[in-house]
Amino acid sequence: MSTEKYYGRDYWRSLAQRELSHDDAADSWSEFGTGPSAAAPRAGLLNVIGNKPAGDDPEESLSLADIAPDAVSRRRFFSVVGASAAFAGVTTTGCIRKERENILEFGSRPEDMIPGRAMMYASAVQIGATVEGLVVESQDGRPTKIEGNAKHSGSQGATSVWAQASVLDIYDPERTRVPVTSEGGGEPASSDMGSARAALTKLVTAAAASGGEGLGL
Amino acid sequence: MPAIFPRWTNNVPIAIGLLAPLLGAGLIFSVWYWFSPMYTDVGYRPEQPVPYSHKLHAGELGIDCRYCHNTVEQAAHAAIPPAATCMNCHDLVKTESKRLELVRNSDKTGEAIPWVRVHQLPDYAFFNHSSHVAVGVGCATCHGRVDQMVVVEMKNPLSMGWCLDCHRDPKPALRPLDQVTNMAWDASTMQYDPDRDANRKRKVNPPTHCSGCHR
Repeated sequence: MSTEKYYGRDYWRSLAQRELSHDDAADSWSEFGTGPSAAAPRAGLLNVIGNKPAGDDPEESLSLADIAPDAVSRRRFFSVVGASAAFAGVTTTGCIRKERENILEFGSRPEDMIPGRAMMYASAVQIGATVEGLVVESQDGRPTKIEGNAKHSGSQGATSVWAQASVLDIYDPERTRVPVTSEGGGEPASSDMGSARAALTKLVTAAAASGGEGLGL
Repeated sequence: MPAIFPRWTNNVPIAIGLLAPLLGAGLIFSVWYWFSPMYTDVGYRPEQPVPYSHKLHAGELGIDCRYCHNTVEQAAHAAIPPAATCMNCHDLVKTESKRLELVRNSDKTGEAIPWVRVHQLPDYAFFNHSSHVAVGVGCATCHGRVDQMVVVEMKNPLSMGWCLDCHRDPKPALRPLDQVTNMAWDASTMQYDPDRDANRKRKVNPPTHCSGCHR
């Protein structure tokens, strides 16, 4: 019987031919020799217990069931991890039918304020020794643009560079967020709205009693 | 040298050459048809953080649309009411209800209720509610019968084609100026002719050119 090799393999036409041309030693050759990693030569098991050096006594070779009963093949592990990552990515970020957008409204909307429509406030800013009249455009309570106030006799609708830049003063991170008191001429100290209100009430009642004498803002 | 492939594989390139254009055309068609707003957006009914029922408030109790969505006549955006509007009644009605927990909390602390937006136009399209309300387009014309919805859902695709269908022929969508918020007003039974309405001072002329909405 011919044992020509086609594409590197021996093709056999009968079991008798196969017995002649094959031997079990060659068939059961394991890629990684003996030892724990020989239990699954090509699958690449996660070695739970630890690496044993190759070339051990073949009779001591262990099977997968001995080493780690719950061991998972590396291929299966990665395919599961990859599938769950892809699934999570698809469903949470992209490839969704319609994303959720929120409308966040006030608990109590300031009067005359319409969300999305700008409100204009007349104001003034002091630059050096002069005062410039301004019209401040406020979007949802946040000042965004400063224009001159045409009705102001001094500036007549014009603004200087510093007046335009003063819109950023409101977003200054150094701006205090709590009332600050330097009562008694001492160091300025942070306070809270409650004490500020109490102090102002005291001031107002005193001023009301004396008719406003001695009060300056 | 023996043949690697069986003889029937000779027809594979021809088959690919015939099928690939058909598949491509089919794919393009299915995206154009089934990914359009008519399929992806109509019927969108997200769950809201507070189970507010328009059917109860606008339908059974008869509250007008503009009591809550009060900016619709002055501004482009018809605002969701702040919690203070809800508390106008709910300070006295159902004051202990668990479903109103978020509303009471919002009124007290100012923290926003995270409503989920249902009707949304992309940023490149300009839409102004006040001009539509002023001209006599009813709320129900675009938003459907909201007074029958327990959960607000999207009834119309709000796509450009849908808007243009009306902009090119606005007459069927118009109603008397005082019937804008009347959900039950039925155009087919009312026989309304905007040209003969004495209350209308100006002719309705919606823009159909590009910069009408793409500003």
